Amino acid sequence: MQVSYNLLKEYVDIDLTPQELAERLSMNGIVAERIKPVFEEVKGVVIGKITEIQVIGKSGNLSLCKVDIKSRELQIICGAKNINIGDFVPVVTEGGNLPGLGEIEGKEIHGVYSQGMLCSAWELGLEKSKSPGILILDNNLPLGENIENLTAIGNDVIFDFEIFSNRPDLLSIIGIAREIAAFSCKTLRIPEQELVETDELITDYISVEVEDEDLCPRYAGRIIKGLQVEESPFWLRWKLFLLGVRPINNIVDITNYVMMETGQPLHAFDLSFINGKKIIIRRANPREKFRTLDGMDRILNVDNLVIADSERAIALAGVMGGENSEIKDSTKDVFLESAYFDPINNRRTSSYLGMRTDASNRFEKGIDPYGQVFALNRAAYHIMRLTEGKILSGVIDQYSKKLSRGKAIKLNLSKVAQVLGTKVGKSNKESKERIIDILNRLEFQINSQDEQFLEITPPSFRSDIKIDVDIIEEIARIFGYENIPSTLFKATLIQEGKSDRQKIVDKMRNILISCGMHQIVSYSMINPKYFEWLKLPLSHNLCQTIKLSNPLIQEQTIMRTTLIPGLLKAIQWNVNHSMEQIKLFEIGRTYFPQKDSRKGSLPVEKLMVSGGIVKIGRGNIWQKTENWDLFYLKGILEAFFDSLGVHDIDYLPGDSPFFHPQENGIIKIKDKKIAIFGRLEDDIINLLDIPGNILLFELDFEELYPLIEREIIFQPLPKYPYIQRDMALVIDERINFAQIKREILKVSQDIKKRVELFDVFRGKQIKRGCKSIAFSIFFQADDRTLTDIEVDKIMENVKIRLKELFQADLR
Amino acid sequence: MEKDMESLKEKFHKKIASIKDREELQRIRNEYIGRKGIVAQMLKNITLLSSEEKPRVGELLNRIKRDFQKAIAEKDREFLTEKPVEEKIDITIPGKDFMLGTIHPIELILKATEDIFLGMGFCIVDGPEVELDYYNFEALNIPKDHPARDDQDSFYITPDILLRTQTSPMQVRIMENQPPPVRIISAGKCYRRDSIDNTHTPMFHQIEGLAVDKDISMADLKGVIIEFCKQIFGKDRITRFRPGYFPFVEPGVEVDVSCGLCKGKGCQSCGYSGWLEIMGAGMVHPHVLEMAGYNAQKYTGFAFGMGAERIAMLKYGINDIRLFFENDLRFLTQFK
Repeated sequence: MQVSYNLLKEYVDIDLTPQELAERLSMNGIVAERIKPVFEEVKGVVIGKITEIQVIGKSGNLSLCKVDIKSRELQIICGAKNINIGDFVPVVTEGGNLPGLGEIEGKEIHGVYSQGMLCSAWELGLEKSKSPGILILDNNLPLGENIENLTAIGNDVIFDFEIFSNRPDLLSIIGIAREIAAFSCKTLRIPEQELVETDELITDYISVEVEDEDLCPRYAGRIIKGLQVEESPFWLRWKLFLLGVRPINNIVDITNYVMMETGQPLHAFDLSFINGKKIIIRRANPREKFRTLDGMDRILNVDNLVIADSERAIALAGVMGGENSEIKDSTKDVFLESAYFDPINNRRTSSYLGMRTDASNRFEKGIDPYGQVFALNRAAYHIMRLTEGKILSGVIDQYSKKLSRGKAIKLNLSKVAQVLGTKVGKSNKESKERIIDILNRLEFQINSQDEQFLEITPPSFRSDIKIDVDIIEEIARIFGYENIPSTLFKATLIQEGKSDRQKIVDKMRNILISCGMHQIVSYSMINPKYFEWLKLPLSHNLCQTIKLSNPLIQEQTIMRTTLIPGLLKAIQWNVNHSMEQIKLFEIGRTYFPQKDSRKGSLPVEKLMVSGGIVKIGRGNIWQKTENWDLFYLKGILEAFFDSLGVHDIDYLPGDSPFFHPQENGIIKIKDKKIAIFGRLEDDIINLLDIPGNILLFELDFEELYPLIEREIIFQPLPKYPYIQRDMALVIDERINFAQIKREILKVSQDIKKRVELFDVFRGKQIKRGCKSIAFSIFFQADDRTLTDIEVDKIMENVKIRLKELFQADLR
Repeated sequence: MEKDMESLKEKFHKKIASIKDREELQRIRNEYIGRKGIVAQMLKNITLLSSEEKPRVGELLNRIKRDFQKAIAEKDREFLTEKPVEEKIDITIPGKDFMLGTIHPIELILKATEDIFLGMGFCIVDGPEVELDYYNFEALNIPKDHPARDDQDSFYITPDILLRTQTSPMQVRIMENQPPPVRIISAGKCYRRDSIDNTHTPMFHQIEGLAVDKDISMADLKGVIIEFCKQIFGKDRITRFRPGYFPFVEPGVEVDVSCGLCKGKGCQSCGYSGWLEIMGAGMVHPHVLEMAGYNAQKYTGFAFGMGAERIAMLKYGINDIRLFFENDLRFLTQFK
């Protein structure tokens, strides 16, 4: 809601500066999003009078104007068409300044030197968008004076207030002035007007029929005849500029001004285009076509309310008028409408048609159901004053019996103190007096009272006040939130704090950062293209996704089922920004369609832990950085599981379609698939244009969580030394290390053994289809020092076993 | 044997005195005290001695060994410090990389916030991100067609299921499942259909708090929030409370904290107001308590909600919200 300081002062005395006023209002819940002097960055603009206009140039689009600015006469070239000799106009002289245009210099056009510029409202910063034409000023303004120094217009400040959606009463000058009056204990000045009516009866010209009272609980109207449509006088146009409304013509301007003043939207129809002397408020017919006054054709439905005459719709109720009955320059007689439309239906209509207007914005939030006739009379009065129009006798005012004043609310005075945590006065008596005073200032009516209770009726413009706490908020607002003390809870609670699951998630994050990985957060919505890039068949579990019904961008249309797309995107970003060593992880949710279709059941959200590493470039010789290959990643995973307390893990060949066929693993614990890991397929790396090997893992936390051992049990340190033996085998490629290790551990199970790989080798010396694999075995007993003889014997058995099972030869 | 030792010592010190470089020193080290050197050999021979002599001679030999070691070490230091050398340790060379990872700045804010509230007896709960319209709006006193829905343009999955636009649905879920008293914090991702710019992303994080009990007032709300702001922004920051509007609280509160850059005087970063908006709060609306099955006559409570990104931006001076989701390492590695 845009309004100016001087405009507010017409309705209430203000003894605060504009800045102080804004500060005070924000403490009452009305925040000024913008405060600016009416002429911001305007310098050197003076009042001038056009004394001569001469068309120049071949095209005839430019005129050379002589402009009297009292001290001298300027010659200025101007392209606007709306100027006449004798007009008073704002003139920016050479060296002056305009917002957005900066300093103005004189320049030569068509061989004529132009000493400045005539200004439009937009150029002076009075309008947000460009409009054609020079701002024509009032002829009473002093010639030659600087516009920004004029007390009448220059010395003003414009506020742009943010109004909460539950306070439509504040979408008006009177509403805001009322708040100022309430907190500063001043009197609100509501203008009164005396109307002169003719003898002609309105009922001879129009009758109103409300077909749907629920959607239109009140409909009021007046007729003014014999008026002239023309440009509004300067004072009215000026007020509209201050309110951020573009002037159009006197009739429309008056309805707009009264709406801004009172909060009641009005609409003026050209009476001559209302057929059958009848206004019918009805639901639209199915697929009824209607052209609104912005020239757009709308297809309506039966939930849309229209204002119709005996033949056709002439307005979309509470949203916009129709082209067929709009005010034109030729209009002589008008029917003024002032109604109350159902907020919910109005909101549905405007969102269905995608039309938000100043009127619909007020109707949908709920205007004062008792303010129609006041606004109507106010507008009629201005029309009567500004034109030769005559107001017909009588007001149409049809309203539903259901339209009632707000219900009385019982307020328990002790509840005020209970909710606020303080009394508003020193004693109960003083508190009660203060509460009554605050409520009176806000125009709440106290119906009855006793020691403990007040019975209160809120004013009709406060549709937001429904129950006692709403009234308590009003008391708190005027009392001041800053006057409420601050305390900490009296009672102490014993709570569990963090859950076990949350603690484990914290631990996982810490383990991963100690592995040198950086946490990322990526969008939960992804592009389904990723599934294609990752070569996932449509039938794959990961492709069963939840789709957004109204996505915003192509990139984000489905909910992720894997964190890998986000990781790849982050890797790509970092590679593109010349990062060479990239180690990222994310702990985040993935989303899968719900399993049962019962109402109220929700999709399944699973927590995943995923990581991606890639090293670009040659690395650094001094740092001798490790090669980041599959086994580097596996090392991280082993450290991760070990620190987390997860044991008996099987790393097995995997079949993820996006990993290299061999560097492709799954991780199982107790036969449950927990994770996948591997190196991204070369095709995909090429597709992403990343010059390095991307290694990835993804872990299903929901599966892992129950397998985590939480108890730490101390193992006594070994009393006896171990004996180490090394062994190198030449063995078939198809036999893997896990198999060899498993068989070694089976020999002499009473002796503790640890098998540690130290080399894998392939080459000329080794038979084709075989590899050399070398490892150490550490032997240890709990009860004695093992002898060499004992160990040699076990080694012999190991050798035999491996030979028998795998045809492994010692090297 | 003892005589041999004396002459050995003499010979050794003579040699040591005359050597010219570290290579020669190394040779002497090997000759005398190496694994197969003279002293080692002599120690081996001890086994031939009688059991009475063994410890004495052993002790003597060890003393000689220590003497030799000391002399070699001194000589070595001489070489290193006094004479020009081919190799010198440059202590200013960087150490070998030992890279630790970093926690995402949003996570840092969530953790810091949770810790503060854990200390005030709150517990941490999680809720679904894909949520029923009922919990996200209706149970929070925002029926269909409510104008407040305009501020929270939502991503829908079906007409009844959406991506939560706020963490507030957790208020109702918790109250439905737990009798009062309640004191919880719930943090997580939320989604709004906002186009991406430097202050908007379609996904962001919120932190929600709720306390319900028999005797909870706005004064308690102020106390808890002031404590939070002090801990997260610093003791010198002032917290301001003013009326706000959220359909699920009444009275509604907006919380501002004084601008840290200008100390409340007004500057560009606070829009010349001296204050920064940080959260919405208020007393839980009786309708919300009732919809969750609580007796609104008996219980009162407060709730608050804030954007983690906003807090992080204010705390760390970040000027573009998109940075949080670009995951640029040059950004991520600044938060340690």
